[in-house]
Amino acid sequence: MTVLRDPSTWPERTFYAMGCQMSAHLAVETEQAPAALAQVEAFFHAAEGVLSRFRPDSELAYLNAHPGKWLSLSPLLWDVVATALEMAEQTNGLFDPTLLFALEAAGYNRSFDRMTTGADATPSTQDTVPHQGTPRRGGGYRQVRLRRAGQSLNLPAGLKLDLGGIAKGYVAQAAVNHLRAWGPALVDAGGDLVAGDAPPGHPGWPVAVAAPASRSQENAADIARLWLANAALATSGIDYRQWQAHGRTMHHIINPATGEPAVTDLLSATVLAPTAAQAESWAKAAIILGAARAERQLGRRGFAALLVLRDGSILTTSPAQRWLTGPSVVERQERTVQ
Amino acid sequence: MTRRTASHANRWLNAGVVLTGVIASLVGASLLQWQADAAVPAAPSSLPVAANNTVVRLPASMDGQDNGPNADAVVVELEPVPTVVAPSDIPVPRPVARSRSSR
Repeated sequence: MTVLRDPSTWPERTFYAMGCQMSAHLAVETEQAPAALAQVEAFFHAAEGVLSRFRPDSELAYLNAHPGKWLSLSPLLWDVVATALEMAEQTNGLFDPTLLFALEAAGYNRSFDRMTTGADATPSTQDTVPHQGTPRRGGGYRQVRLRRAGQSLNLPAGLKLDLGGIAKGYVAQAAVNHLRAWGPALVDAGGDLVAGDAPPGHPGWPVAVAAPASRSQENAADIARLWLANAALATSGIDYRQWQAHGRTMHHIINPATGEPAVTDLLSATVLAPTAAQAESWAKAAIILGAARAERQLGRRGFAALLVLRDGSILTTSPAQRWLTGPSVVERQERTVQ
Repeated sequence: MTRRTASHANRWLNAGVVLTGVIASLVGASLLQWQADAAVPAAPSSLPVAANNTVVRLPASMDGQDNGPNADAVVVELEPVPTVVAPSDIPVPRPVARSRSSR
């Protein structure tokens, strides 16, 4: 009788990058596994140097500081920007990577680590972008100009790019694809999961959807568990990244229609999709849409999604029913959408 | 600084510059190679798909070309990536990772 190896015992590496705790897992026993997993960490750090808006010397920071000019981008930045703009089109602008001014105006003008620790905790009115009378709304992504020859980009004045979750997912996807040379892999990029092939003998990588922070207690049960293979699972939420500014609670998910943090009945949204970019973009879009519209729009597009409402109830799209294991679902409540 | 010390310091400085350059080129080369080897994600189902090939065209509005219509639109050829998720009747053991909002 063949005894299947517990996937949690496969080689893994945990590290901190892009402001998040991350891990990479490789379902193969080889002496090269540690080196291969170390490469994943190195790739994230190198990519952060290109894609981070918080690094003053990053390529993205240079791009944002030079609007109105045609700039030739590195292959990495070009791919990530193109992916982000494509997701903006797919979500009809609900996901909009050009809302950095609005995000900074809300107080998110430095890494969240610095916002929540030490002297930088709680943004002051002195070091935030002055809250202008009219918030900067979305739609600007349509004005970004790309030129294939030379992979160059022209960012109009008044726009700045924030690649956030798209960057994490993109690098995670590339890391999983790179690890295929060794075997099945899974990368957890700060809660955005990207899975390659299933580990030997298993239908997928065993993963879970964590309870949102405000619902969690010590060792709180997961909302759901599922097998994941050749797909991505991303969660967007206002449960953790929130702060006080301008006399109210702010969070990082800007509604492009208002230029302000989205007013929503959702605490978190988890989306299963073929790619990390789709999962991340639609998870964010779901928060902005709110429970009822998110359930309709994501369900219509065939996305499996778990939506946790502020009142603690959980809504799932129809496609999500297939992916959840009945005995492992801790709490599930189906509602009739009004 | 004496001439002898300056010469000695310069040798170390030059060696450091060369070493830094070698490391940087290796990282850059490996990163680019890694990118070149990376499979591009599958085409989203909402976009037009050509037979026997998966092609994604970015909308004409993103085309930086000022001459004529979409003649040089950015075209990204993607390799289809299968999406396989197991049936929900197989209990999931202890998870190796959890999806959550960034922290």
